[in-house]
Amino acid sequence: MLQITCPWCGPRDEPEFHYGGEGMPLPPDSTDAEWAAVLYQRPNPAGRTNERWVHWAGCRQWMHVVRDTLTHDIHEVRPVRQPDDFGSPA
Amino acid sequence: MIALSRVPLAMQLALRVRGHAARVRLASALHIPAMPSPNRWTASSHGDLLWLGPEEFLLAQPGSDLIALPTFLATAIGPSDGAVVDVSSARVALDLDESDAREVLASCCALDLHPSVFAEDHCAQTLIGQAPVVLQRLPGPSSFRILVRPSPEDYVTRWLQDAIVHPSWRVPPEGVE
Amino acid sequence: MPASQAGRRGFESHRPLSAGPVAPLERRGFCLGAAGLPLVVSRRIFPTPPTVAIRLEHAEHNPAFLWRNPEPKPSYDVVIVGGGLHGLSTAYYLARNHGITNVAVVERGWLGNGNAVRNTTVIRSNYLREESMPLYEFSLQLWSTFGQELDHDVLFDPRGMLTLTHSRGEAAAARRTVYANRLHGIDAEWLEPAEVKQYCPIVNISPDVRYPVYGASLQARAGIARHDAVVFGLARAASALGVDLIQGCEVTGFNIVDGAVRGVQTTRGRIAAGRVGLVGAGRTTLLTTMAGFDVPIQSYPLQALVSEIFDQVLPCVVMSGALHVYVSQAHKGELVMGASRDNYLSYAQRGSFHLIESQIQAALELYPIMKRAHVLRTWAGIVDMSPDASPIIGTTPVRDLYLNCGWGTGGFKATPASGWVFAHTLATGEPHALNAPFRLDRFETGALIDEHGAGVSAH
Ligand SMILES: Cc1cc2nc3c(=O)[nH]c(=O)nc-3n(C[C@H](O)[C@H](O)[C@H](O)COP(=O)(O)OP(=O)(O)OC[C@H]3O[C@@H](n4cnc5c(N)ncnc54)[C@H](O)[C@@H]3O)c2cc1C
Ligand SMILES: [Zn+2]
Repeated sequence: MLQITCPWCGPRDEPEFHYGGEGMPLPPDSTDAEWAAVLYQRPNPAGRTNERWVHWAGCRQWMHVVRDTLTHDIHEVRPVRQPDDFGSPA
Repeated sequence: MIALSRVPLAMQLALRVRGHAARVRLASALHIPAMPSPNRWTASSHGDLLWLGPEEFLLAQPGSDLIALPTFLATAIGPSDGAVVDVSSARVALDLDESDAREVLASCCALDLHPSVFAEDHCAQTLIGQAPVVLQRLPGPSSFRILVRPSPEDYVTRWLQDAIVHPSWRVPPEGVE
Repeated sequence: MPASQAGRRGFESHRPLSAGPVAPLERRGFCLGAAGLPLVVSRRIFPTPPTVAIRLEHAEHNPAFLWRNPEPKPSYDVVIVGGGLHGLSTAYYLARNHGITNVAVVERGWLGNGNAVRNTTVIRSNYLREESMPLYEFSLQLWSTFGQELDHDVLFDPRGMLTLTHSRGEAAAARRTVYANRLHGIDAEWLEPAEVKQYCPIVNISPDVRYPVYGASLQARAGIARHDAVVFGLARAASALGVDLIQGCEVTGFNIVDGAVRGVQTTRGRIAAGRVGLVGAGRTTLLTTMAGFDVPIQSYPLQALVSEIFDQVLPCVVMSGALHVYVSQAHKGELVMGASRDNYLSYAQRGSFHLIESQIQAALELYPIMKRAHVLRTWAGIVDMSPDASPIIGTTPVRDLYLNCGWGTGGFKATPASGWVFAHTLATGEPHALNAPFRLDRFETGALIDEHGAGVSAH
């Protein structure tokens, strides 16, 4: 099980989060191949990957997570919105 | 002896507030120096005020001036910096009072609730079993309030009662399964 | 070298222990660990290792090693990357159906270290789409004679599979699949709850549970087999036909000249090849990235677990889509249980415990009898997930480089057919009729083969 340190709530267990996957590129207005890439092609790195998770059972905020797919280590968690907008995280 | 009791709450208000200035206005309307920081709660003039998210707070158990309160707070926040919503029937409150309350909760909640980590002004949104709850540490040596949606209330109550009756954290006596 | 060590080191394979003439089913059943990592635990399961005297006595019929362990040659007609079930099956059919024997299977670990021995061995053909049904049905038919074909008992056991439904909507969808299957000559029946109970007495059909059983579809010819026996049988047969099985040999790059592949770079040197087939489930995109093109595949953990050994209580495979759990009972007696995949990308061959917990909760509601069972071990494999839950089998943007991937959570059942059609594709340069629809460019043309709904957890 992963444990993710929410920038607002501190370390919490994975069931409190939903996985948001990798960022989606912007849709182009041209070829079928480019459309196929936008719709279906997702990064699948062996190593560090930039992900989004949402802490649904806690503060319900989205966050950026840098995670290693080989080790499951979490290297970085950043709130998607800047803390100044709200006060500061825990 | 364990005490698990359902506590009536007169009113619950969800407060959404955006921006520093509105937060300051709201805090002063509630007679507190500042809105609580993440995962903390504070007693205000109109009940317990719990942090739920960066722009979201829960005001629970307001004791006075019930009818006028939402408008009063909405005015303090201002028309474009947030909202006040009456969510009085959204959650029920269960209070858990006894010396083993922390161990009872440990059977179904992953948070570290040791007083050195989860102090008297702490609160958290988390899971009990699979049910989302708001957990509030109450004043006193080992008391907690659990705010839970009505539909999983039975589920949460059973988890807690089971942990009370079959305390898995106690080593069973020899020869007893 | 004792069997357990050989297995752990992985570069030699010990013969299966059922020495001599075919043992009765119960004896055969206990030969090797059930789903999971059999060789590692074999020591604990075997009561007493056979003595040297017994080995010598049967040596003629039971050689100590089932396949040769050759050094790589400088060049082959075909190099297959990945020594799982699909890679071995491809090599076997290249030799058997096409007479192409100058073939190497290169494997970064030991044969079958990946999903080949981590799966839960469900075999069925009751898929939904008209592209899928013929492929999986062909595979099911090959299974029925696969053991004889390989001259190696793979314990294929068509004990039937129930797919439970728990709502009206689900029941309607399952009936639709039943009708689609029948239209394609695939056996399928609809059972009402009482008939479900008759077919599989331990299923709880009480209406008082949170998700009562609304009925089930049944494929009576579906079943299970022994995954490690399939690895051994295929490896032995391919090796005997002249295929070089090269273990401990990781592909690290491709030699591509004028848009055509001319060989592979490996941790054991360069190997030239006329054609190359990629069958590296779980690590597909690492390979295609080296070859310079993208495929819409992502790698996710899929977990399973087994209980301790019980008397036979479960006569068939039972799957529940809404509850995300499926169970069968291995020949030896362990309950084998699987669920949905984990939610995040991973190459780590492990998953999160809360999935195990929820699959057990679901199993206990369906089979109250299991509440006394214990989880003996859990494990995960890394599966190739494609956007439409169907495999990708065919040509690639690189000439002479072919791809077989994306079997996701359900490729074990396809082992014989996948090898058959991929061998055809590699031998002729053209897809077989059965894999023609499963081309890589379907994501551009839009001709997807959506099988997300076909098999609930889709095994
Ligand atoms: C828990 C679990 C349960 C499952 N249950 C079922 C089921 O009930 N029914 C069903 O039909 N399917 C099931 N599956 C799916 C099935 O196991 C797979 O679809 C199938 O095994 C994939 O084919 P394979 O055997 O060739 O894969 P693998 O055995 O994974 O083979 C791929 C091989 O490629 C090798 N490789 C990768 N990269 C390289 C490289 N660079 N160089 C050399 N070698 C490389 C790997 O080491 C590996 O041995 C399940 C899978 C899992 C994980
Ligand atoms: Zn949080």
